[in-house]
Amino acid sequence: MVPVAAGDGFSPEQRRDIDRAIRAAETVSRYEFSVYVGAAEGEPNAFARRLHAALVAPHRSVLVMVDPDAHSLEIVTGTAVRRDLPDESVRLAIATMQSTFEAGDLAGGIKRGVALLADAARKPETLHSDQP
Amino acid sequence: MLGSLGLAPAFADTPAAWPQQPHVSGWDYIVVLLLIPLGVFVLVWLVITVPAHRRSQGQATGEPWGDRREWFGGPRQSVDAADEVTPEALSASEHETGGASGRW
Repeated sequence: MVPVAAGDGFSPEQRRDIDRAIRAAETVSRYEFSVYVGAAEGEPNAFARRLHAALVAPHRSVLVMVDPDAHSLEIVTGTAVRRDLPDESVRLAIATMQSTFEAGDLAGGIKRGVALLADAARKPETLHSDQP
Repeated sequence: MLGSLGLAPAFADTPAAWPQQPHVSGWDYIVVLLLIPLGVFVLVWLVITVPAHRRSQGQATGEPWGDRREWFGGPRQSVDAADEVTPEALSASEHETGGASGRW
């Protein structure tokens, strides 16, 4: 089998777009978002949980792990995040990301997934009843 | 005026001993002075722009990713730090963390 050369990775524009999506997500949800793209060492879910546990504030963090070669996608939410971002919402984001990945858009799938997760984790604005 | 001063323009034909210069047609003139430089310019432009254009396309999901690791919004050392997470800490967090998995 002839080895296939690896691609060039994300373009500068794609990196900038993903960074921008993460910053926007953190602003909207007030939680930390981290995205790892690369090969998982061992079982993907266990590796994603180890990555999440190694973050600075795992209880307030969302980790998105994408293994492009294994076509594997993992999202891990911390304990504090889970209160605002239930697993059902995570599964919806994963479904959207899967369809975008299948269309060949790796960076676009990550951006859409992060945005969906942030919207789902957004806390409702408090309505002050003491205002006339 | 020049004639009165005994001055006149000099006229001289090509000496007969010199070899005859080959005739250069208009087409040869266009090829040498226009088409060849234009071709070199286009070649250099392609050599410069095609790889840059390919890089700007970025990664698609169908292309192999290889051993590359990219972090966004996370510390780069987290990949190595993941190996240092103790099994106790991992099992403790497993019961409290949420999330989901998928494949495409």
